[in-house]
This record gives sequence, structure tokens and C-alpha cells, in this order.
Amino acid sequence: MRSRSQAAWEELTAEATAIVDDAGRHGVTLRVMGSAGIRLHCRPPGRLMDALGRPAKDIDLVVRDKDRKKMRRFLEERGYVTDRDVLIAMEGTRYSFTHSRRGTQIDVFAQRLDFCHTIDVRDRLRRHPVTLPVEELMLGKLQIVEMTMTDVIDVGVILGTHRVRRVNAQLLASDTGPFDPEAIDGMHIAGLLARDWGFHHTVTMNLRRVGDLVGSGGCVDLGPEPNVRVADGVARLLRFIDDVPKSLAWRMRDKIGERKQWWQDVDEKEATY
Amino acid sequence: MTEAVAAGASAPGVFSRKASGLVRVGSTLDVFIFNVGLVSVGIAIAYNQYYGPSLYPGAQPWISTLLAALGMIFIAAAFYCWAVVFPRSGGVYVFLSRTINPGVAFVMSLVETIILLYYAALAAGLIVQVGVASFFGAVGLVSNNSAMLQLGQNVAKPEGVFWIGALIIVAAGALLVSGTRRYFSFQRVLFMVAVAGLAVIAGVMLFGSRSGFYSSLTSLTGLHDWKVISAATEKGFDVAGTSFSESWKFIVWPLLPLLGAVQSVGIGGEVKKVRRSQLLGMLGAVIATGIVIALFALLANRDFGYTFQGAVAFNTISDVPATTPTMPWFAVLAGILGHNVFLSVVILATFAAWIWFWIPAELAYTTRSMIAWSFDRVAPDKLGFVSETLHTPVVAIGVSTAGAIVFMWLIAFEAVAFLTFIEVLLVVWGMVMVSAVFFPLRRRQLYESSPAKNFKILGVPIMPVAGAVSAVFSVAMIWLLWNDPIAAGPLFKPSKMPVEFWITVAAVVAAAAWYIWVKAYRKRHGINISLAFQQIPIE
Repeated sequence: MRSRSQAAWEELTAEATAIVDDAGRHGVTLRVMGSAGIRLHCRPPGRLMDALGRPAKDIDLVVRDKDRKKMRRFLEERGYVTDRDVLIAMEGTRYSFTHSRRGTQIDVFAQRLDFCHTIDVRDRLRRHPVTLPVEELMLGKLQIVEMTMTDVIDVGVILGTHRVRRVNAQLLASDTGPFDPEAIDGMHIAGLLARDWGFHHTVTMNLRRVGDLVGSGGCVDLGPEPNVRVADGVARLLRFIDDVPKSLAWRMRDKIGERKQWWQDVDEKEATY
Repeated sequence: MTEAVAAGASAPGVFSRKASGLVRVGSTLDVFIFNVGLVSVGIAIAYNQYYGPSLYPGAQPWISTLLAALGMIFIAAAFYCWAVVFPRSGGVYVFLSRTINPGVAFVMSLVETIILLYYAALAAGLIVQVGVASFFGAVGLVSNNSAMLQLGQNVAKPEGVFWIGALIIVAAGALLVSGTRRYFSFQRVLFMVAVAGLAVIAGVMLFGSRSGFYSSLTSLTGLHDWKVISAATEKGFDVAGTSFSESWKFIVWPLLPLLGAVQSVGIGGEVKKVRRSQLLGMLGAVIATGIVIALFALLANRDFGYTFQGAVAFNTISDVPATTPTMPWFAVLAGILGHNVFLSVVILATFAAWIWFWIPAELAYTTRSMIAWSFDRVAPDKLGFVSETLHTPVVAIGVSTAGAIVFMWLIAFEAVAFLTFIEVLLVVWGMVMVSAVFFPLRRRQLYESSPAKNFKILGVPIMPVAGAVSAVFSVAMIWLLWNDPIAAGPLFKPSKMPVEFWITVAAVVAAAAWYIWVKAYRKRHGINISLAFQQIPIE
């Protein structure tokens, strides 16, 4: 029998998929991110999230800058009401909508995820037909300086169901088996972090945190097999990140370390006016 | 996989969060720059050194500045408490509408908006007079270029002031239309330039001497300091020693720019970490600018001589020929001291940059008030319209820009008095201060649930005490302005009511009538606008 949480997730992901498909037909490129994106990316994480009681919250979408105007019209035609407060406060970088009848909440980000760290996804929007690529889905959680338990669950289920591989041309000796489009591209993540010390610091800190919290003795127990995959994924990802040469800016910022705040402040989403 | 389990939300290094956060635009530095820019060190120094020694014999601008800054610390403390109780954009409208009465709040906010638009125009006019005209004047003087000197004089005429001033206002409006992020980025760069320019001026003054200044004055203008002073005394200029009573009377002049130090309350909803940002932004701005302005007054006394500054400005005001070819603003005197074309350019450009800060910041403040009215449905929805192309509230920005241009016309052609509007502004802000005194009693629940409840010094709650002291300070300043015909004079003058009086009355009547009508109109459409004002604050 379906739990209430499962039903809510199914409703939310069905709506997210329908929006992405319909938007595509209207010439608007939208992709799902956040927890709904993780759930939609492939089914195993969804089952794990159900088992962990991960609550359904809202739909987070990403849109191309040039599609923003059409996106607003499209969502408004579907019964979503634009949050004027966010509209003015965020000046086109982010939108917020609430369905007039169902109350479903949608946040739409324009090309970049701007939280503790900024992730530019403009060149990655079309890599998956419905969601952001798995790397960005995971980085969206790992960039949070103050991770919540649900963030830990989200990262845990991704690492528990996806192998971390180099994916690019050079394969590690351990990268055996056929090409896997669902694998996490370790080099892509390592490349992004090699340019930004602050982002690197937060992500590596959080990866270690996930490694500590997920496991049979930790706060999140995914089961024997996924637990091993998480531990392995964290170790492999940290190795990739460590191995990639860092930019000059990264190395200069490294000398300052934690003495200077390395992330941007994120406030509660409250009324601006 | 079905065996998966998760413990509760608490674990080492794991936090709780209600929903996806939001990265607000303004950092602590942006808030500080916004406020320091609104103080405008350039305007403060220009006014202080021009009007103080000339028309208030014995008034020491540095003393007046420090006294004004002291009073402003209490105003800043009270506004800071409001800013953390209601961390929203919209300024006094938000505070008064949610604590006193929405109708009163709207009337007060509209009056405040009109006054701030006037000051945006005043700043644009000052850029033309103190910046552009002085620029041509001082550079023409130092480089012995009569064409530039003539240009400086022409620019300062009403037509020049209006057209150049209007262009500057439009540029400020365009900057806001391009987005708040771009506006803050621009201000950050300009702030660094302005601070660097100020450092250059300080260097010129520190390494300069009075004998060197008088020598440059004679070689560049043919004027002798003693001739300037004797010509002034013949016309009634009073050579006086330091007078504390005159310094107290003169406090209203440095107060005008220092009032800007708290105006980040108008953008409270766009500020990151509001408690830290507003505290450092407001109190930091009052203290930093107060000290800098006072130090420049002391440097001016050292290099130009207090009596000379008074005499040369007095001669200009009294049409005595023994004065500089262009108005002897501080920047012009500093240019003469520098006796170098490059230094003159740096000095004048620095002053123009400092004055500029006022304009987009005042427009930003008034724009936020308009949007807040629109959101509360007190004003038409269109006022909060956001352009789908530019992603900014173009209508509100356009209305603010147009309003400031109207005032630019009044300033250029009708010579509206400088500080009379400050009396009205102090009444509006005084009401906010009085509300701070009674807020913990009138809205106890709201106060108790806000961080302001914990702001205490030696057990004394800051919000009501700062409100009370600020209210008394505001009354004292109104009294001084009312009785000072040089700075302002009475707002009501039965023999001939000033333009400012009619503008204020028209604003109050129009706003009250509008509010009554709009409340009834919304009610007919099934909307009770009073509900908007019953919202519980965020924190």
C-alpha cells in the first residue's frame, strides 16, 4: 500500500514531468532539479527515499535565460500564480509560483543555482531529457554549507545508486565495464571545484560528512550494498577532486583558508516587501 | 533497499531548514556603502565649510558634525530595531502601517517620498554647481583658461543646472532599471574611487600649508587673504572666536547629510543577514562619516584658515567682488591649494562622485516605498509592475525619476529653500521614533517575538529608549530649523506661505483622500486591505 509520502511524491514528480514535456512542446527548455529531480533521474533513489521517509516538498526547475518570459506565461497558463515578491527581489534570476488550486509550489532558477555557491548549468541543461545531469543534482545538495538530514539522504541515495567514474577519455584502472550514462562524472565535478576554493571546501567537507553519516552505524542506513557504494563513491570522488590540478585563484585563496568566509549567505525565503 | 532507515533530523554537523533559502542582493558592505553614500561626505564638507564660517560666526563645523552624529546614533539605533523587527523593504511605511495605522503610514510615506525625491534633485543640482561648475572653474583657474572659467559660470545658471541635473537623474534611474545587483556593483566601484579620491585630498591638505594656500590664491586669482577678510568685515562679516552656541545652531547643516546614514531601512528586505548588515551599515556609516567630515573641517581650518573660509564665502553670498571667480566651495579651495591641474581634476571628480551617491539611493528608497504600497494594494498594482525584459520595477523607478526631475525644475528655476523640507522629514521620522517608544506596549506580542526584545544595555531596552531620545532630538532639530532663517525658517509663515508648505499640505491631503478612496474601492471588490497590515513579522 502506498504511503501518504509516496503518493505526494508521485503527484509531484508526475507534475514535474508533465511541465517539462509540455514546456518543451512550447519551445521552453525546463529541467527538474532538487529532490524531485533526484527522484526522477532514476527510480532506485526514489525507492530509497520512500524507505527513508524523505518528505515531498516542492518542484525546483531550471530555465534558460532566453526562455524566462515564455516560461512565466506557460506556468501561468497552467494555473500557477507568480510570487510578485520574489519576482521583484530576484530580478529575473529566480521565480516562485504557487498553483492556485492545488497549492503546489514551484521555484524556477535561471541558468544558475545561486545558493551558498553558484553552479552554472547553462551548458548542461540538455544532457538529460527531464532533469539536470546527476552531477549537478548532487552538487546542488553538496554546495549547502549547513546540510539538513534530507540533504544528506539525497546525496546518500545518489551515491548509493550511481557509480563514480572518470567517464572522460582517461579511465582509471578500476573503471571497468561498459560505458554507463548514469555514472557520476568525477572529472566534471573535480574540474568545477578546481576553479573555486570555497566551493571545493564546502563540497569536500560535505562529502566527508555524508561518508560519516551514511552507513550501518550512522544516521542514515541505506542497507548493506548501497552503504558500501556510498563509502566507495565518497572515497573515489575525493580522490578525483584531490588529483585535479588547481587554478592559481584556487591556490591563492587556499592560503587564506577558513579565516575568510568562503560561501555566500543564504537567508530564509521570506517576504521582501 | 527497503531496509533503509534514517534517524531524526538531529546529528552532528546537520542543520534544520524550513525551505530552500534565498540569496539576497545586498551584502553588509553594500548596506554600508548605501548609507555612507547617502550621507555624501562631499555634500557635508561642501555645506559645512561654505555656510558654517560665513553665516554662523564662531560655529565650528567639526563640533556641529560630531554633535549631529551623536544625535544620529540614537536615530540609527531606533531604526535598527525597526529594521530587525520588520526586515522588509519599504522604510517607514512598513513600520508605521503595521504598528500605528495604515492610513497614517501611507500619508507619512508619501510625504517622505516627495521629500526624498526633492533631495535626489538637490543632489543632482549640487553635482552641477559644486561638481561640474566648480570643476570647470577650478581647472580653468589653475590652468589659466578663461574659456573653462566662463563655462563654469554658464553651467551654474538655472538652465545648466536643470538640464545637466535632469540628465544625471535619468542616468541614476537607468542604473536602477538595469538591476539592483548592477547598481550595488557600480556603487562598490565608485565608492572605492571616491574613497581613494578623498585620500588624495586628505594628502594634499596634510602636506599643504596655509602660507602655501595663500600664495597659490594670490598667484591664481590675484586675491590676498587679508583683502578678502577686510572686504568681508566692511560688509558686516563677523570675525569671531569659537562659539559653542553657534556650533549648536549650525548642527542642522551637517544633520542634513547625516540623515542618510539610516536609509538602508528602505531596502531592508534585500539585505543579507539583516541584523549584522543593518547594524554595521547604519551605525558604521554614522560613526565613520561623522569622523571623516569632522576631520576635513579641521584640515580646512588648518590650511585655509577659519576666518578666510568664512570671509570668502560671505563675499560670494553678499556679492562682494573680493572672492574667487567661481563659488568658493571646499573643492575649489582645495584645488587652489593643490595648484595642479591633475590634482584639481581628482578633487572635483571626487566631490562629484560623493554627491552622486545620493541620487540613485534616494530613487531606490522611494521606489521600494511605492512597491510596498502596491503590494499592500494601497497603490495601483501597476506601480509594482516588473518588466519581463529588464526584470526590474520600471514603473516605480520611472515615477521616482520623473518626480525628481520635477523638483530639479523647481530647484533650478524657483530656488526652493534648502532645509525646510527637513522639518517635515523630521516630523515623519519623529513619528517613527515615538512609535518605537510605544511599540513594546502597543504590540507586545510582536515585540516579544522579535530580536529587538533582546537588545539591551545594562538591562535597559534599546528600542524605546533610543526612540525617546531620538524623538527629543528631532524636536530640537525642528525648533532650530524653524528659528533659523538661513537654513530653513518656519514652514508656516502667515505673511507668505513657502512653496514647501503648499507641497507638504497638498501631499498630505492627496494621500489621505487617496487612502480613503482606495480602501472603499478595494472593499467594493471584496478585498480588505487591512488584512495586509496584520501580518506577523518574519523573525
